[in-house]
Amino acid sequence: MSALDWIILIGTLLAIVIYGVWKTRGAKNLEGYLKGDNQDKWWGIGISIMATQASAITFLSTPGQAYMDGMGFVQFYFGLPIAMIILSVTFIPIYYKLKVFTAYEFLETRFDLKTRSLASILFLVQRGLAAGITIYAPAIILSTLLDWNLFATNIFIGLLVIIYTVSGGTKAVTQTQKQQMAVMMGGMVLAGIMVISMLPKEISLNDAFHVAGKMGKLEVVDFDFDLNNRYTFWSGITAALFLFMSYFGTDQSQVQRYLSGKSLSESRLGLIMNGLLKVPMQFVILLIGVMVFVFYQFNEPPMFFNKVESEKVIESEYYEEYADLQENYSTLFEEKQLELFKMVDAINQENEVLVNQLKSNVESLQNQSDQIREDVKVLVKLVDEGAETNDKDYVFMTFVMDNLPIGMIGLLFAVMFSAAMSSTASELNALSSTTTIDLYKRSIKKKESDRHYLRSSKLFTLMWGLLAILFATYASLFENLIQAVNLLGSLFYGTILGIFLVAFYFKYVKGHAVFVAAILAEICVIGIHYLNANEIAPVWLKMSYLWYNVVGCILVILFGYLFQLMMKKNPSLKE
Amino acid sequence: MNNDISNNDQENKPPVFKSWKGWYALLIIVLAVLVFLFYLLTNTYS
Repeated sequence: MSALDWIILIGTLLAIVIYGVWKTRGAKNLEGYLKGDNQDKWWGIGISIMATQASAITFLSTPGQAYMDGMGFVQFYFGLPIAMIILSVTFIPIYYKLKVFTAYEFLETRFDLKTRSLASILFLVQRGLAAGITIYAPAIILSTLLDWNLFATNIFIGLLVIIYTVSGGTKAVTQTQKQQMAVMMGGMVLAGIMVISMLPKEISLNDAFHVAGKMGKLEVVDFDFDLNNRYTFWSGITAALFLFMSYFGTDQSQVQRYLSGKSLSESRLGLIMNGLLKVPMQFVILLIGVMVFVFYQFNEPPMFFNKVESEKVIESEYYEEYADLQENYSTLFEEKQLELFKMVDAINQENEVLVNQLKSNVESLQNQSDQIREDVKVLVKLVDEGAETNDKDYVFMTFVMDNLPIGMIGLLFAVMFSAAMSSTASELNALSSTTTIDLYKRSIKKKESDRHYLRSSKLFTLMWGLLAILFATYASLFENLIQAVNLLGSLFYGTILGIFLVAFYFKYVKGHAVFVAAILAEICVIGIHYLNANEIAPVWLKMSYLWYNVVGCILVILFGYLFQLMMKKNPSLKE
Repeated sequence: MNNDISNNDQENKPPVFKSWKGWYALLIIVLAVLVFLFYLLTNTYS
């Protein structure tokens, strides 16, 4: 990167942190520190909700996902607007009525202390691990691209977040997220405009869409009902709906965002803003990935997007095999490019027969290119057995570094670091709130001064921040950890959502029944995952992990109702 | 509790629309329009 890129990257990040600390200095009480004195307006809440959900992996992976698999991932977000409606009608009014600091406080009012503690501990375990991954996952990619030490990158992201989150609490998180979101969206939109402007002069935007469509990248909606297909219209509006209800309604990292609103109306409007903007936002990010794909149809892409790994192959004993593959890859690329230009001409002349014939030629050449990429991955593994051969996450930033002008590269790296910081800050803020309010203040030190709890909250934020850095540092020691932690959300969210839905809609079910039901439901979900992970699940239990949210939730409701019924008939079960 | 929530709703009138149902309907309509546009995009270019 050039000096200007470094100035833009470091300058942007430091400016946000310094402004955040200065603007929100001097929190005087716990209410101000954890709920931002309830001063946030709807647009600030909306931005904060979106910035919390959009982690660095969103911006690193999503364009790469579109590049490899097309636009189908956007369907995952179809359930989000519906979830926003359900939360606005049901969850938020009750949180406001009870004036809670955390979502789990409500569970004690409705059920009992043990149910509240169970839900908050499930949250702390899951979100505590996820906070480490929120730092580690982008750090491993960014450190490779920038040639930084991984440990130093973890520390860099973690410490910047700790500085302003410990200092200003919720106010600092919300304040900095406004600037971070502006950097993120501004940077991505500029990158999108640049990639379109860098297409060959003969290729219009309409031609680019045709090329992407003919190569299977514009299949946005799929109405087939298949439980094993993760991204369809149906999984979006059902399974993902449950996931979003749980994430936005019961995960404190999101609940804390809208509990800082000036009023119930402001919080509702913040959620509605999220519901209106999230699907278009994801669509735009995916479309940028598709445009990068089209760009690489007319400009030769690298055989393998993680250049550190391909450099290792070039410097190894497999150099000759690599050079042969490169030669074949370049020849195929040139042939494919010629066929693509002919196909675009045929499309513009509306010659269907010729279009289909050329499309078939292009697909055949693409398959041969893909096979060469597979061969390169074999070489990568031969040189370094532990190397990651999925290079999807490197596609977008490799495009940025190789093709965008000076200044834009620094800005796009600022986008990635801002995204990592914004979601980590919300997580640390929420972990501290839950530890202070649901465990420390409720069960350990019950009658201390407000000043004591304010100081404790700051210390817990610092503690969770250091734990997140520590976990991020050692994350590479565990195989498949990222996948495991991603799964963790779906393993627990269903059960937590089930507890909340019973609380809201099934007045008949009481605390003891829902507590036992939640534990049993969790065991069932883990059992189903075990069967699926080991590929021994019977046909009727085969499902992708998104559906665990639905199963966990329904089982809590079902078991809760049954246990309550049994307890009524046999009161001794209550003991 | 339900009565309290209804009262809360009365105190928290939404902007633009007469009731919150207007905003919820808008969300559903925007989602439906987006899905329809995505469907058109899929069919036009595939």
